[in-house]
Amino acid sequence: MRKLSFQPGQTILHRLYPVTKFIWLLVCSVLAFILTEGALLIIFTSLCLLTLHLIYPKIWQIRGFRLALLTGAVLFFLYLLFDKTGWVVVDPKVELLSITTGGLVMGARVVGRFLTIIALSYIFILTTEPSELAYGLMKIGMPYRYGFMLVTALRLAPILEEEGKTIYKAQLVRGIRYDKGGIKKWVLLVQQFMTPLLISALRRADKLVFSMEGRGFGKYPNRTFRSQRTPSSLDLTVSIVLTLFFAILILLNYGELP
Amino acid sequence: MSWIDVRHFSYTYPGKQEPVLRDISLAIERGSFVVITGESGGGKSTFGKALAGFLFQDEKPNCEGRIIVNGVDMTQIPLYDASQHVAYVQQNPEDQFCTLSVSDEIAFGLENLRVEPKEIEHLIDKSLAVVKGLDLKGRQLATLSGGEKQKVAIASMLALSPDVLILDEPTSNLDPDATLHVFKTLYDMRQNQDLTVIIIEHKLDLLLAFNPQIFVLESGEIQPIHDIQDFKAHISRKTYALPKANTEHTIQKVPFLKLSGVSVRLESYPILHDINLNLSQGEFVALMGPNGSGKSTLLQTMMGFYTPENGKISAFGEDLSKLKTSSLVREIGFIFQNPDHQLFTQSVWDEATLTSKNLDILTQDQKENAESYLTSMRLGDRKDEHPQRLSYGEKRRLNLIAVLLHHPKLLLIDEFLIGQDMANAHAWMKFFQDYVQQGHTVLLVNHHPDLTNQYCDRIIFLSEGRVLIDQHVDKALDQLGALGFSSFVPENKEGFTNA
Repeated sequence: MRKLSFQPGQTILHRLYPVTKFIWLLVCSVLAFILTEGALLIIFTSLCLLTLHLIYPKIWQIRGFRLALLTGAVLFFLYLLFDKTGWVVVDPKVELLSITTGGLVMGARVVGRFLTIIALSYIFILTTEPSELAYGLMKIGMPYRYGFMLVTALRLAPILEEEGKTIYKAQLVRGIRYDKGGIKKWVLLVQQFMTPLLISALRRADKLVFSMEGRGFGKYPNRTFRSQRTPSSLDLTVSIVLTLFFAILILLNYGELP
Repeated sequence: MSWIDVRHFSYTYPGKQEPVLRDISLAIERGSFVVITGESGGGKSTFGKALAGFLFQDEKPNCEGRIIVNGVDMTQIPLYDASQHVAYVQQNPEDQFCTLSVSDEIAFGLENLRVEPKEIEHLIDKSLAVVKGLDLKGRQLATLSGGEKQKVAIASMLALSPDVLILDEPTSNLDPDATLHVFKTLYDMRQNQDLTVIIIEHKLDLLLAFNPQIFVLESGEIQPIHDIQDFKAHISRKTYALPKANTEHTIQKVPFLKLSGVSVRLESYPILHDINLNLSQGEFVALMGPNGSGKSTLLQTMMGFYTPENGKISAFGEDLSKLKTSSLVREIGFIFQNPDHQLFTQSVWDEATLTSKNLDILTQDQKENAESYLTSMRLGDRKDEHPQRLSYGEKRRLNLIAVLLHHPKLLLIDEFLIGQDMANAHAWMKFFQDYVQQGHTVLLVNHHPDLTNQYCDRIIFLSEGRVLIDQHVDKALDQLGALGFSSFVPENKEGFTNA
């Protein structure tokens, strides 16, 4: 299984300006909640999943994706079981197992939204270099001190994750067992896990402060940026196409089109 | 006036009574290649940070004297100005990086100083060229090897055009090949750039070829070294006495660990290939190999943390895959690289006895053992202190007590000697040798050819995830030399000393 992280590539989505992508991620997420027609939502969700498949065909190997699909399937099944509104579509003569139009529509709506958000998030993460996004946000006005909070968090997160794994293993080789004992013991073990992790994080933060300030961080209220990347005609084209497509979807959803 | 002029400088850490640096005076000329060595905890890193202006950011730092670099008093300037005079490269480059890619990292300081983007690109290329790392441009930091990371850390400081470059144990995590490469890069750089380079380092033998100016800093006081052989001959010999075992081990014919055709894949990348080896009673084995060859993965596979894709591992005659880690702990002690990651409790005494308590074997005998271990490791009077308040060396000793108290038959140890001075390194190797002579087995990941030659019985050498050599030390060193791994072979097999 691979971690969910940026995967270098040359697709249109990879070439989009990170801030453009971030804005469209937010717009698409809102759209998933605006669409109420089950069929439109299914089309939208399918397109998102298809896009995800096209940019990363081995999506099954990314950690968490199968779990998300399974969660979606369970949600759909629960709606079929417990939402009995509308017409009966399948009637096996056992009330709990009967399937109604209400259950199908509500199930499709909730699962569609859930999977859309998952697919959009995966697309964004797989095609966007996180530091590029932070630099993009800083260029459009975010104070660089806050922007670098994001960059350093992105830098430290995988290191602390690895340290957490090492600390857990170090606990195991000292005979510590998470599968034995009650809640009190478990709380003690978590405390014993968190103490070295927290101390290590604080030490790293301390060294990072020296490293950053030692290289002039904070000397001036603004700074220059090496990256000269700006939105291109591709961003404009994609934005126009998406705007038209979403307008049609919304008009269809609210019955404004014949 | 000299390029670096330190006059009667003393420094005391906040909250401490005793100064860590005492009345230090020295002069270093421009373009010098300087090495500062000395025992662990003697104040070397503190002095490096003082030269770089790191210690004077409090309103009233507890210091006396002056540190003048190229006419600038480093005790009087804010940190964000200090790096334009003196750049300080930390021991672990991972601690220094604050971005995700090589170019962003080198550009970071320049961007803060509002250098124009075009000029930044030029300076990135220039800095990478100086450290012979132009091929690294465009790479993500996470994909670099230890040696490559060190080059980027140095380049990111060089980009700021400092007058002096200080490196705090820059090669402590590197194999001998990478170490030599870093030293050569620094030496060439100092010659070509007219830069003053100060290296805080224990690996004197590898540095002597570059004819450096050497200072020894011990107990807060600094002295120049004129005769290195005389200095090496007078290095104090520390010892860590191993308390006698209360239990007698019987001779065991079954190998403690047996790996047959073991291959391991992590996140779909193959790491270990077709590993075949045995670890038997009474062996002191060095596990060696270049950085990234799979040593730590092999050690953790032996402990059952990674499931082999192919092959079989048996521990004390039983299939390892059917044993729980908690049951292995009685027979196998495991020590990780970083001491901070393996201290969990609120007192030194609790830490020392934690494993035995978890295994339900904390008898009166064990408690007496703990007392004698703590005393022999000079921690007897610190039983009630929080383990995280100990020094690096003291934490290392506590890690060892915590694992050794119940006398596991096999010790698996990952890079125990990192950051240890020469006297300590010898003392630990002797300690492990004594433990082996009590009927136990030790497998130690080790980068020091001379110490391996002097103390170990056997070398397992990994290269690209395969066992390249598994031989008695003498034969293994001969083979390593013949295969072109000469930096892993001590120059003189008799009494060659270096940590």
